[in-house]
Amino acid sequence: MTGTRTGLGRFIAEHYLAQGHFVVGCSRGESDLQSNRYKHFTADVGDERAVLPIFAYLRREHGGVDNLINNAGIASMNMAMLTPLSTFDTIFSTNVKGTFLFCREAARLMQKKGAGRIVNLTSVAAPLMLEGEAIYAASKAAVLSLTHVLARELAPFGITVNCVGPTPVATDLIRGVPKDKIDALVARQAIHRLGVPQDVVNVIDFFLRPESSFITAQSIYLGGVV
Amino acid sequence: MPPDVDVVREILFPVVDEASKSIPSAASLEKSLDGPLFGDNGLDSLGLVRFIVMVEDRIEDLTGTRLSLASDRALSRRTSPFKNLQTLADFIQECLADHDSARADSAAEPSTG
Repeated sequence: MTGTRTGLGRFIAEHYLAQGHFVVGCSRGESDLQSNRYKHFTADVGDERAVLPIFAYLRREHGGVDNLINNAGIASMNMAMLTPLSTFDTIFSTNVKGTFLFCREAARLMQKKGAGRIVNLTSVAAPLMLEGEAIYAASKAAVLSLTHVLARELAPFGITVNCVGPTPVATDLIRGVPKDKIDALVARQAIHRLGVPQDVVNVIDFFLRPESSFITAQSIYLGGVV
Repeated sequence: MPPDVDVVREILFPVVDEASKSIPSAASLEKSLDGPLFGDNGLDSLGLVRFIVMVEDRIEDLTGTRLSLASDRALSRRTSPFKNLQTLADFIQECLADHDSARADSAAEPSTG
């Protein structure tokens, strides 16, 4: 699982630890998550040289991986005309390249067992086409496309690939977004409230269930966004 | 690459053995250098993908080097590296030599720090 140090990722990691899973997580910084079933790697998810050792560890120590949750993501709010190109590179590196890299490496391990679950996090920013979030929304639309193509490509190997698109959740990711922007976004949802981490976990749980082996290439947006 | 690694006998033949047990279309694959690897009497497309992953993993296990064999360089060749085990062995040797050469060049660069 990626992006486990803080916020939503931390909540998801703790949820699966509580369920008895062994969780291998990563983030740019060190984690203070304490569990004898948690292993943390400090890695930039868009850096192949930092990511490959994580999967070498999984192959060597665990014989593979059952589930992958691509949670790591960064956002930036700015008008396109004022956005430096470096912002584009940074967001796409984490949100798109990182997601692809982890999908590729996880699939290489999962195909050996003929089974696996991949859940990518997209965002309602993509279908809502939020002004001021052109790059972030485009990156999450790319994650959606990636999810759908990989679902078809990996289905013969018994691997499902789905994504969940949260509404704004009160985490660090939206801390810098003005309240009126968040309120306007929430108003466009069918259910007018901020999301909570449990809303996201509920969907991930559904995708990871053994009974969900026939569910792939699906994207579930929370809050009634279509 | 360690000089004593024999690409055919230590990488490809063990992968053929492993593949024949786990990849349906590899059942008839032989440890023959010139037999077809892909297509008639060889692997199907999904089998080839799994076979290449196995080969890359085996290379990494033995040499510590992660190669991407299905590169643009491989796919643009007039003779596919995946035609038979001999062409694949030659291609792996070439990639490993280039990788070693690139690493040596990198190590030889003066530090700017």
